[in-house]
Amino acid sequence: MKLSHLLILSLMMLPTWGWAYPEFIGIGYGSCLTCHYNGQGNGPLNDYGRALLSAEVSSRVFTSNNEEKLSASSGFFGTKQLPWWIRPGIKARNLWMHTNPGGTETRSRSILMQADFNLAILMDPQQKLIFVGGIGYQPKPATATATKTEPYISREHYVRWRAGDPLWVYMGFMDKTYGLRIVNHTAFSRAGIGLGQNDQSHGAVLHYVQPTWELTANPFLGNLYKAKASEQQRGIAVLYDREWSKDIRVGASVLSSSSKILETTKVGAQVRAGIGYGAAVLLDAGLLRNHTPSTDVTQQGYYVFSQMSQRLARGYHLFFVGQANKKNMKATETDFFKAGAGLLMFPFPRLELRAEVENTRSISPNDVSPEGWLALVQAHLSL
Amino acid sequence: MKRLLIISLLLLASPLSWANDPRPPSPRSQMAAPPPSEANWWFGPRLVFWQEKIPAKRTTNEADFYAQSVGLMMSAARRGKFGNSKRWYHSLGFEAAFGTVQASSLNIFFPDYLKDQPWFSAGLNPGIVYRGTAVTDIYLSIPAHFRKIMWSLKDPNFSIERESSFSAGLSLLSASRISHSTTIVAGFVHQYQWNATQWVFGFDYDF
Repeated sequence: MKLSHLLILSLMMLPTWGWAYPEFIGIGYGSCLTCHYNGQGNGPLNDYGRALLSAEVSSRVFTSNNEEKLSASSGFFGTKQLPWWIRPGIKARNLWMHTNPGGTETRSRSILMQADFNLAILMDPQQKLIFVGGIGYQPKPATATATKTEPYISREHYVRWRAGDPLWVYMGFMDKTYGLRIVNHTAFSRAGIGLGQNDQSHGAVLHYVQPTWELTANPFLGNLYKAKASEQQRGIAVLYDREWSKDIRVGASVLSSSSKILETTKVGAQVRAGIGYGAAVLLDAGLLRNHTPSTDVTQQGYYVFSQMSQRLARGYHLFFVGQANKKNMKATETDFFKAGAGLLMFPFPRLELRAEVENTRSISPNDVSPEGWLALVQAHLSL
Repeated sequence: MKRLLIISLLLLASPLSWANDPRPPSPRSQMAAPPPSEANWWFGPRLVFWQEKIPAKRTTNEADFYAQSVGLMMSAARRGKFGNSKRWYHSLGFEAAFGTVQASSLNIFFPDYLKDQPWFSAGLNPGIVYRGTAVTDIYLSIPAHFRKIMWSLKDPNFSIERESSFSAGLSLLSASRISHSTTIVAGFVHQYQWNATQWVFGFDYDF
């Protein structure tokens, strides 16, 4: 039992980080659509997002340029303007991790998590119709039991059509629209509920945007590139997000899908609150129900992700994360917890550094297992 | 890894002139922020959760027990400005906590599971506070606590240490005000003598 806990703790600490910053509500940006081509967040930044990252978010310690110059030089080729219809981008992320530093069973790894080229093709200057796609390197699985993976992967490619003033329609291969999209894709609220870094799906997204609320419906067909049709999760995700007051947004998500081997339902609530300039509190919590038809076994669990972040200086943020998760809400089952603290740094435009220490524990009804520690440093280059 | 960590710290160290940052916060974010509190006393409950290794003995066999403590801490802190500084404060906290501890060992000669063993602790927590914005603070302090665990053991041949113990540590807490009188507090305390990292989450109320 204890060895299995240790194994689970170790697996839970394997990181695959993504790219979304809901904590930027702390600088007054509550809607993802402002900065991303994908209105649900993550993926390539639009021109405004690039300019914002350079001029508002990144530190100016290593540059004497003012906001206007920083914004103007945030394009793919710096100040050189590209034609209005093409917006390329390159993203590379490397992670250095050290398991149980100072302990007996320490291990260090360096993982190139992402090396992507992405492209946005704009069909008209008003961007009513655009194509967004990306292809990149896929790291080898960290677990010995993981299935063989291709070295290259496209995590998204879709067509976005602005069907009307408030309605945006997306068709293609994308992340499912559920919960808060955050940087840490191994969080209990992401990979822990089947929404990890490589869990995209073919489908459509209908995004209805109003000044104080957004409603998204995402019918999906599963990942059609998967050879086994039995593994393809088909269903629908719905997300509602509302501005409660200035810089405070609350939301709710539902996702229901099924394949021949798993039927799953998730229900969650999200809160994003900008508290003071550059500071934010995030909360994403929910319940999930998994049913395996072949064995007729049903499990009901919960997950919680929370984060408090503060701005130390322009480009430098301190953050604390707390998470909880239980796969099966029975008294005999184990609750897992993670807590971490770190620094999120944008020392100059196009570079992000993230240093974090994470502590993992479990509470079980019959014993106490050793805790796990993980030190992480991540460098993210975004061109 | 080490090199990157050093580079990260250097990159962090260079802009530590934030206290003199003349740039005003964005008007949009300030609209949501309540005005800064000038309260001197802060009071609040906090949940604490930590693990430590406690040596135990049965006849001639010895083993470390993994002990997991959960408790409720009441904190009362007095805060004052450092001179005329608008950013830096000093703080002295008085803390009392109680809870239960669970413990077990991986050693096959110790199949014992110590469940719901009560404990209480009390201590002082002096430190400094950095006010990042009108509504956010970072606490850096050195809490020192005395703790007593009321072990209730059924086997007379079994004994376990730290019935009474003392520990001092280093604390880093983040505080965000969510209303005029209520603040969320979260962070970590590393207690050196217990070699334990405590998770802390709770609220502060000013009065």
